[in-house]
Amino acid sequence: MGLITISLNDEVERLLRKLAKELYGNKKGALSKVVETAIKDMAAKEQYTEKQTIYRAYKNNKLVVEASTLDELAEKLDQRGIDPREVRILAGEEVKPRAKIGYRMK
Amino acid sequence: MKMTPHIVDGTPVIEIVIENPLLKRTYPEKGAVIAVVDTGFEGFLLIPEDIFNYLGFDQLKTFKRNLILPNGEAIISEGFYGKITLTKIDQSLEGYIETVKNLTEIVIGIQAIKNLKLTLDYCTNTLTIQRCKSKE
Repeated sequence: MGLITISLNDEVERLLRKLAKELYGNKKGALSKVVETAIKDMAAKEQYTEKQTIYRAYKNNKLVVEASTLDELAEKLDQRGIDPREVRILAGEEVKPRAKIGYRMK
Repeated sequence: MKMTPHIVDGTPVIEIVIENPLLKRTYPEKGAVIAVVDTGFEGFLLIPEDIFNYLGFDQLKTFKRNLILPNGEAIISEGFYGKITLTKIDQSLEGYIETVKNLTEIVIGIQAIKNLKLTLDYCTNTLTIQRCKSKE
């Protein structure tokens, strides 16, 4: 859980306290809950969901390395002395077996 | 942050750098290369075979899939996971980079641009690209 300090103008601060009291009473953490809910709502409104791909490297069908970015995967394989050519990499989001395309050919 | 408008002979293009992080190879080694924006391509990035091999993707355990052409014909592509950087907005993206035989252009598809705001204006011959507001 992170602790951050923010500045609000008087009007927004009054509104925050009012909402917290109305929604959660005098419970501890009421202000944080209102802020959390507001941020989640805003993120949903913006249709922003951070999708994180997980890359998994398998050697002889055994999971050897897992990472959230290709750079991290490369670093971990390097640290373990595993040649990337020897592993099968699978990503969380599978590649569709078919995709449409329109392009120019020779 | 916006990139320099870029429409070449009526075709919208984006400057990118392509990387294979697993083998630490980059194309081009200096500067950037132009990728044609193709909203008809459902994938991430399609590159000519020589660039695919230059980046060493052919040395890895690649995947194969069917790409369906506008006439319904299916062709087989070979691909692997890689990274591109949109140089003018300094945005890196990871995705499935593939190749097919006889391709001569680099094609950037909707998987790569789906989280970007592209504005195409033929009246002023400009293309602008921005990160989505919520991702800045």
